[in-house]
Amino acid sequence: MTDSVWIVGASTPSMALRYAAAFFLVVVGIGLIYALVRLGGTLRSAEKLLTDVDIEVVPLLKQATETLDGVNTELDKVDVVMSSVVDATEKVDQTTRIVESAITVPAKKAAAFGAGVSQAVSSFFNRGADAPEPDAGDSPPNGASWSPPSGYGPGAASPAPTESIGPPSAEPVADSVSEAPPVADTPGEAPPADQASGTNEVSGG
Amino acid sequence: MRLWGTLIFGSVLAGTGVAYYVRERSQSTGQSYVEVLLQLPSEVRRGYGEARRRARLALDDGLRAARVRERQVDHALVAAAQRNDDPIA
Repeated sequence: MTDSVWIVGASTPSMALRYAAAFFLVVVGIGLIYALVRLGGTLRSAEKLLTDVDIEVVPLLKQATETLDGVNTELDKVDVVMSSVVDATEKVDQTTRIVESAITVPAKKAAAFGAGVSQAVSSFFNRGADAPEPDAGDSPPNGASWSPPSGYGPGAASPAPTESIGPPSAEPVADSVSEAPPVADTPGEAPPADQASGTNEVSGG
Repeated sequence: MRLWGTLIFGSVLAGTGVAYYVRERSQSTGQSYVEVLLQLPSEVRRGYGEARRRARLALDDGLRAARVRERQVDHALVAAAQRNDDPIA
């Protein structure tokens, strides 16, 4: 009686717990087995994948290495070509500068010479056209040193000195004063006109 | 023969020129031929001096124009070089 009571009294909750624990352990064991089986399959797949990768990637890496070696070789050649191009460009630049300096200076001088000759010719003839026409025969050159030609009598046709060869009105007065008459023009009397104005031009330019 | 021919031809040419000048001058001024001939040396000297004066002034003008033109070409070349150096501007 006491044994049955003890069994009933002791087994009612504890047995339930034991059954529940056993069931739980069985379920957990089944779950673990399932998980381990799945994990094993996954690991087999991963191993197979790694094996395939190892088989396929190594040749690819070899090919990539060979390709990179070829690219490096071509880049070396391109580097050599670029160096040659740079050298050629520098030579072309130097040649261009030399040709430029060899052409521009004579061209500049030629342009200046042409302009100067044109202006000089124009000035030479226009100055003559602008100058007042001297009276024919009645206007000997004025000036202190002028004298009638020998044998030329004073009463015959002694011309009064008139302003016949004065510079044009555009010329300054000082210029006409400094400009001795042609007859009295001796070397060393008056400074050349080109010296006076040329000095100013050079200093100005 | 060639020298003499040249001399004779030159003399005839010069004489013709002088005669033409004396005739024109005499007609325009009313002076006699002798007076014009007597004035001829001074006229030659006057013309020579006038030509020298004009040549000197023309040379001055020519030098000035040449310098101006050279400066213009310089400025044009500098401007062109600047345009080439800075094509965006």
